[in-house]
Amino acid sequence: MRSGLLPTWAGIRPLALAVFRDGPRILVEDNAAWDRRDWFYRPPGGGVEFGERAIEAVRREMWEEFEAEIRDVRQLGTLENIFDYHGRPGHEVVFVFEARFADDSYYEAERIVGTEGGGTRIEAVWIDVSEPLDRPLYPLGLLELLRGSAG
Amino acid sequence: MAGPVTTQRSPGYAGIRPVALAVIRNGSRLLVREYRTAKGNRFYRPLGGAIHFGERGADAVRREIREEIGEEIENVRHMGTVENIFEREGQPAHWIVLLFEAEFVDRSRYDSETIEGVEGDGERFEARWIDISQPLEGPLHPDGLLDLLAEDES
Repeated sequence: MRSGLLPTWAGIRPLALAVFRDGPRILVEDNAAWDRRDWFYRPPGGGVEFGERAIEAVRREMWEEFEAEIRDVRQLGTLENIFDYHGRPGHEVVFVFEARFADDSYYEAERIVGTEGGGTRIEAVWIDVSEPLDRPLYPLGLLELLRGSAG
Repeated sequence: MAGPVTTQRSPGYAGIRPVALAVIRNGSRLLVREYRTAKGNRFYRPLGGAIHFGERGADAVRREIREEIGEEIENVRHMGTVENIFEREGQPAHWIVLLFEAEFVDRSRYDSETIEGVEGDGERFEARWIDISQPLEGPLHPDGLLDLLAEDES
């Protein structure tokens, strides 16, 4: 595909994220390990691939990143995330799922370490979303979506 | 030239098309456009189109309705999102469809049996109302829309 012929939607990235809840806590990836300019939290997950359903993407991502099996996967909604990341525009359509870890030990861990597709180390931590957070939580609108669905 | 042949490295999501459609209802009737497959099979789809990079779905649906039938809509509300992975004319397709309930600002449009429209490429079409409480003469696209409408009623 030549750049002059890119469709108008080119660059819009579909994402599938999993929200794991434990009381008022949710699991989020802690990007401080790889980005020192702009710290934020985001639930784990990743990109949907062509031909793949979002629910399959979220299962695959949780397996690839954390070798975790998940169950009781339920779609909470979709969010549109349009942003600017260090001068680069971004546009995501985000499928937000709620899920549980098949293995309960994930709920005991302070920090869950995994690996991103490219081999980058990723860490996930539990944060209490009933309290003010020390960093932004992305995608925007997530907390409203969580409040709208009984925990 | 059609086909997935490319020398550039494409991201895994390349080819997924995010679409915003307008669910404009009048009682049990839904405003749609009728399409035919290459084999002549009829199917229906609400009006709307591809979301542009950087554009919110609600803005896309307003823009598409303005471009296609020259009308303004209001009370635009995101009802839900459906994923459609299908094959059309032998080509795999993957659409993520954001469905927005909307109303015509000009209420007289609800009295029109058909509404004339024009595609981006200049092709003319007629949008019309179909009664979704009755059996349809062809499938309603996207898959999952009827279920979403039924859920929305309850």
